Amino acid sequence: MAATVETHADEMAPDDHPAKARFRPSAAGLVGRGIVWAAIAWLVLVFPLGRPGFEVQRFSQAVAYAIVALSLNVLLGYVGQISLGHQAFVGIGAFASAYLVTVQGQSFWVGVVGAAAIGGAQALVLGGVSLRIRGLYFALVTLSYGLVAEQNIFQIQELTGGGQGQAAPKPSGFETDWRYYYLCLAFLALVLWIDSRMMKSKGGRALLALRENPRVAATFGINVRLFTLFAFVVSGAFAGLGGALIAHNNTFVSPEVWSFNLALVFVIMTVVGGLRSRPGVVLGGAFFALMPYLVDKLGWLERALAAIPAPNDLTPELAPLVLGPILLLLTLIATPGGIGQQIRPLQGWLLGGRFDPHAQGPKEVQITDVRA
Amino acid sequence: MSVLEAQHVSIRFGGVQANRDVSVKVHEHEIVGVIGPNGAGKTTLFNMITGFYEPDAGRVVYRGRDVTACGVHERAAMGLGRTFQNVGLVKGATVRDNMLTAQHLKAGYSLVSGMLGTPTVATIERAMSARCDALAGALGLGDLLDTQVAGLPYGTLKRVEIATVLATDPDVLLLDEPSSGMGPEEAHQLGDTLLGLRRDFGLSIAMIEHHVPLVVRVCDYVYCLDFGQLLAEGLPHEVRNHPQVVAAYLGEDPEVVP
Amino acid sequence: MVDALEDRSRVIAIGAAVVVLIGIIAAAGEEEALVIGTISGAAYGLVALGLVLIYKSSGVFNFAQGEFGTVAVYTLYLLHFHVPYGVALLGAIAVATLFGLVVERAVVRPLFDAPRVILLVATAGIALLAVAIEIWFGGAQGKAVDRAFPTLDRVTVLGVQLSDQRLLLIALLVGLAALLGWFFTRTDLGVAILAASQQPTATELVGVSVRRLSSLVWALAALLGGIAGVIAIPEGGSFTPGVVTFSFLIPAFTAAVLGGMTSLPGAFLGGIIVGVVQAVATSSSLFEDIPGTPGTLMVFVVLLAVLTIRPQGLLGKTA
Repeated sequence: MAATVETHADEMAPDDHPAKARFRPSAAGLVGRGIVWAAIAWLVLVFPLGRPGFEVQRFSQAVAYAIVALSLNVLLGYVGQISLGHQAFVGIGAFASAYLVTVQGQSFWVGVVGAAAIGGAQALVLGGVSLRIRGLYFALVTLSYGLVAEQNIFQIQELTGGGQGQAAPKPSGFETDWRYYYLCLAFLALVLWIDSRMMKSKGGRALLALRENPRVAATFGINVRLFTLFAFVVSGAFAGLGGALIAHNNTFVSPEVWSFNLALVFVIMTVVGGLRSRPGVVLGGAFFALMPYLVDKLGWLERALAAIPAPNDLTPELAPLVLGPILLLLTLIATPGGIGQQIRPLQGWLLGGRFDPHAQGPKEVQITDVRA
Repeated sequence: MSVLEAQHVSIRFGGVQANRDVSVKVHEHEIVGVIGPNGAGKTTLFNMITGFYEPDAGRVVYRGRDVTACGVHERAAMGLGRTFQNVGLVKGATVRDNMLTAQHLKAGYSLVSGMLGTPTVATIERAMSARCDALAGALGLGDLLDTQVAGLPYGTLKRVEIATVLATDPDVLLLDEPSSGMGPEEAHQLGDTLLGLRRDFGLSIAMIEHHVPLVVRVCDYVYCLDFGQLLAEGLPHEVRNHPQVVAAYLGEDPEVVP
Repeated sequence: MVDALEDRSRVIAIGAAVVVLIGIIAAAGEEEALVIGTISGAAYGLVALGLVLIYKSSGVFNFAQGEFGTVAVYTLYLLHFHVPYGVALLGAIAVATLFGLVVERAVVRPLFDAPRVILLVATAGIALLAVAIEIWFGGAQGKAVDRAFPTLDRVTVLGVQLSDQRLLLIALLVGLAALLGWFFTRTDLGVAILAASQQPTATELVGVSVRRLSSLVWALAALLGGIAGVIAIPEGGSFTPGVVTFSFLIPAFTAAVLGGMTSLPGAFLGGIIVGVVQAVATSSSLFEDIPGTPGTLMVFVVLLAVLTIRPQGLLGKTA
């Protein structure tokens, strides 16, 4: 390789491109953005303090769901592989942490790290065995695995109290609901940081390339299978972490929760949130976790739903299962980018750019995205 | 010493023998042309050389080493770069992102470091980005670095593809119809570029081409394929005037062609 | 020449699978499992037929296939209080078929050109919606419906009682598999459906409406699903929302994969094999130590084994 790079620009006709000026918001614009940021901060950090404990627990759950959504986004959004058994990863993380803390007498921190590690290890094993398998069939394998988790793994005596459930106390220093909530937020920030760092480095670029064009990715020297496995492991680790947070939030883990229904809710909340949009999937996860709470709180909504003629009421718990699929179908058919797509103009604005109602993210979701 | 060789490779798909007993050699710093009518098996040959297909018979040898069993990414790591007929780029990313992704093997930090965002990572990333600037500038793409690939005109895409494959730091470049979609003047400029790249980067090049003047001007040696088999090989003007080659392109009886 | 090789490997694979299976059963001393497994396998096979049908014609993995059955059996339950059983049966199957048509129109059509995984997710969403509506309208507690034919012990095979219902299930599976096989190879319509799936443009050009064929296929699959639901479920006692999906879908998919996703007789064969494997796992003392339900684990193992060793299944074509 020669050390110098000679320009060949004169040999090839360069295209005409006007230089783009850097946009700077006005003073009023900065103030406006500041106010919105402050409002968001208040909503996330201050508002929950005024609520009763059990409500704050729901918020913590929402944060954990946001982490689960981020984990599914790595697999579904970045790599284009679908996991219909993700509840197994989250559940195993939950049980792992509970087991480590209650049975092994470890601290919460060991439990959480252990849960993430076990989630990643599980993905490594499952992925190692089955990533040779193409997209649709891989979905089947994850679905079947999810059932195995529910009916076999979660019935293991030592791990799960033999189907009776396992206790998972909150960590010392964070026993109150509010403190635990902030702890969850800190973990969410950590996951967001790692995710954004990853996507700006060679690992993330490799994932996006192999999702869109695996042949070209290979010619870049990317080992497609290895990196798909890498994404799976990261996804598993994040999911395990989410599971641990859920476990200690409820101070108890039982096997029945981790059903096929939950697997679908996870996928739905990620797709509706918006693939490859971090704020989108966070909102998607939080929204689905809080749906029963919102239905409960918004009296008019609860009454309206109950008014729908049916032998039984559409309870707050049932609402996500009905509204979820409807939102999913609307997203797939009408706005494939989900919530993430909708908030992109706002997102761009908040980060100091112009408010562009037609803003298209560089990785905008199209219906042709997920590989078969 | 040849730097890259396909030795007696054959491959069949179902009922079709796509390549039969094809042998091609690229010597150090040579530019080799692979010509032939459509469907002659040229891209299939490249696919076998780069590792997308495994030949039923024969070997692929790179710098004296049998790489027939090596995967695509392994051959890329050894220095084999390649472009595609329908432009091999990540369309949903910017030009810069493509060129950064292409430097995948040059990013000297671990995946975990990448996820943590250590200062080393930042330094290396800056160096990689600077390399993108240099390469893009050399091909007149400096302004386009932060533009999305999707939506760029076809001719520009071909230049972006070359810049991107150069970012992988190849020793041997396999180009699949680099001049497709170009008029005579552009193709001439492409020829200059290729000669320049060979000189500046010390490359060896093999290219599938239909543009005969370009092949004659730029190539040191030419192979002609037809129906999956080697029809003729030799110096460009020899092959160009070879009666069977002419007939293959025109589809006529060799005796009839003047 | 290539096809002869493929046929031979197919025969070897089937032969090996059957020998291994019978060997395991004999070793475990679980002959009843053979019969019990065949019965449950017949139900899996029936659901698998619907899965293969849709996959063959549009490449979609239909996760809502199970719910065609659940909706049918719930309808049967609601109707049989008001009308004679036979009428209720027909009504239930009709409602399931209608459900299939609605799904095709509202979801499959708009996503016609989308990647197949998107459609998979969409059908999974529909399954969830169906279950949620069943809980909402039907309540979460179990319901029960009588069998179509009351005779419980028409025949006893290897110590297992075979009711009329069970015999009917098996007969239906065999009959429908044969019927569909004939349909796809001998009738113009069947051939057209296959053509449409492989070459939609060409099919349109010769004057066949691909959209209309799509509706037909989904109606047919829903019909099969409905039949599976109303015949198999009453045999099992009480049922809860989502019963066919939760109990049958994964084994049915495994059966379809095992048989070969493009093979209708494969679905039949796969169903029986999966049923027997599951029955052996459940009753044999060999699997006692597996926590929870051993059958579930074994079905998973079968799925993984097929996909890693012989992805095209026993009777499918190599990709």
